[in-house]
Amino acid sequence: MIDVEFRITAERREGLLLELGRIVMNCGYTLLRPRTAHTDEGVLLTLAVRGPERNLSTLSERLSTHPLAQSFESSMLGGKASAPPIAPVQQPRQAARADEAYIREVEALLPELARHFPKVLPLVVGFEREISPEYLDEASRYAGTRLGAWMFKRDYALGARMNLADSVKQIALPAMRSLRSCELVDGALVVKDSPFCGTGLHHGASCHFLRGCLEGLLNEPGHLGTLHVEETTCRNLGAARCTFTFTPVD
Amino acid sequence: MNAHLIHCELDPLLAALSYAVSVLGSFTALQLAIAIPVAPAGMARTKAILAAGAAMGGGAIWAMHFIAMLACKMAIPVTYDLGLTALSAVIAIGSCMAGLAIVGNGVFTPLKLAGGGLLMGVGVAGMHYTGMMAMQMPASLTYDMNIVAISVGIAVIASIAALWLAFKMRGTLPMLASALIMGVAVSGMHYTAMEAAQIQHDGSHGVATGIEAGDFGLAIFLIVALLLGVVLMITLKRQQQRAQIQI
Repeated sequence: MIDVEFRITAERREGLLLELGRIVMNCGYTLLRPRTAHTDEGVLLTLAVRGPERNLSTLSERLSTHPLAQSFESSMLGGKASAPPIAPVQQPRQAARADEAYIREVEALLPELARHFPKVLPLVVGFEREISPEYLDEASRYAGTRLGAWMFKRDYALGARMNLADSVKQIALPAMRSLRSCELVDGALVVKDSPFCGTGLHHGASCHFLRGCLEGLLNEPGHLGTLHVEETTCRNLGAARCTFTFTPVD
Repeated sequence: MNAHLIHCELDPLLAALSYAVSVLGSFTALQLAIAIPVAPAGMARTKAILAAGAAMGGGAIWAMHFIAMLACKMAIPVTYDLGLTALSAVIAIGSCMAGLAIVGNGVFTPLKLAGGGLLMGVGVAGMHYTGMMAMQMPASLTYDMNIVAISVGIAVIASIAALWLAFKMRGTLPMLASALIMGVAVSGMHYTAMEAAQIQHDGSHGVATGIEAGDFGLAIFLIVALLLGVVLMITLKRQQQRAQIQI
């Protein structure tokens, strides 16, 4: 196992930690200390991670070529003194890839969501019908993350910093109610009639946009660490209601 | 009934005005206070605490107290000692700053809420009883300590409720409810404490030399005008900021 620190600059903070954190975990690494700071170049995200050395090049390649990343540097952390430091490099951006394409499409959708807020769900269902099935889930979730972060900054940023349970009750619940009727049941958020179910677009759980909204709402304040939202039951899979649960990643 | 006992005849209009000023001061202060948790640590957070504490201590509590004293018509001349009057304002503002700083710092917990509410409630009471000590009149002032305890209890409990609503709930309605409750904390404490006060003519004909309650009129007017100005400014600034937030 090795400890590595990545320093990534990006234009915007929304969804950055979530997106890159997911890549880190998919490569078998654990996030140790994520930190964000604002710089003249944009947002600097510093990720200290621990994981198998054999996956390091894959992880570095995926982080450095992520569409949100503008610059990328990495270096070994103390644990393995004999290992040579990875030279700080400014990686060239690779040609457009599938995820870059969906981010462009989401960026085009976002102003429409802001304009029609809170009546945005029909727009997102329409967006899901038009977007390539290859990256439908990711695109929908990313759009949700951006809308959730925007809702937080717009209507919920002022006031106390609360623990997870209170944040779900005082921020996530009223914010999601502005989009769709929902309630809290044993700490989980339950949506009775998600419009993303039964559209024929998804084979598994279908409410990626709502998951993203919740992640954006709860991750934007920053003091809760990184939260992962799971859709544990979905009407698209035959359940009576769609249920979302919340788990801290680190 | 003691023949020398002096009664306070309450002017209902001024009494209602005193409650209105405490609500306006609380609303302004809480609008400023909810920015404390998100202000970057350092000068920005200190400024937010100073502004919110000054609005709460100076506007909601101190100005309310002196309007309420104007509402209390007594058959003896009353003036106020300048030093103690100033000290009463310092107590109100200082305790509110400390209470708001505790509640607004870091993650909100019941312990912080209780600590902040206790400080603010005791600050309200401290301001009132210091303000009463500042009274110069040909009479002696004693208190029913049971009612004093009740008045402090009202201030502490209502302060906790107001802080809970203001910091935890989001939106204008909870903020308004919070200001109305904080107004109850301040006014409820004041009028309960006035019930605890027994003012007895001591037979002297001493000439009162301090400031007359009516002389506070200009200061109170300026405070109220400032509070209204701050509310208007905050509302406009936040509307602008909200409109500029990019998705």
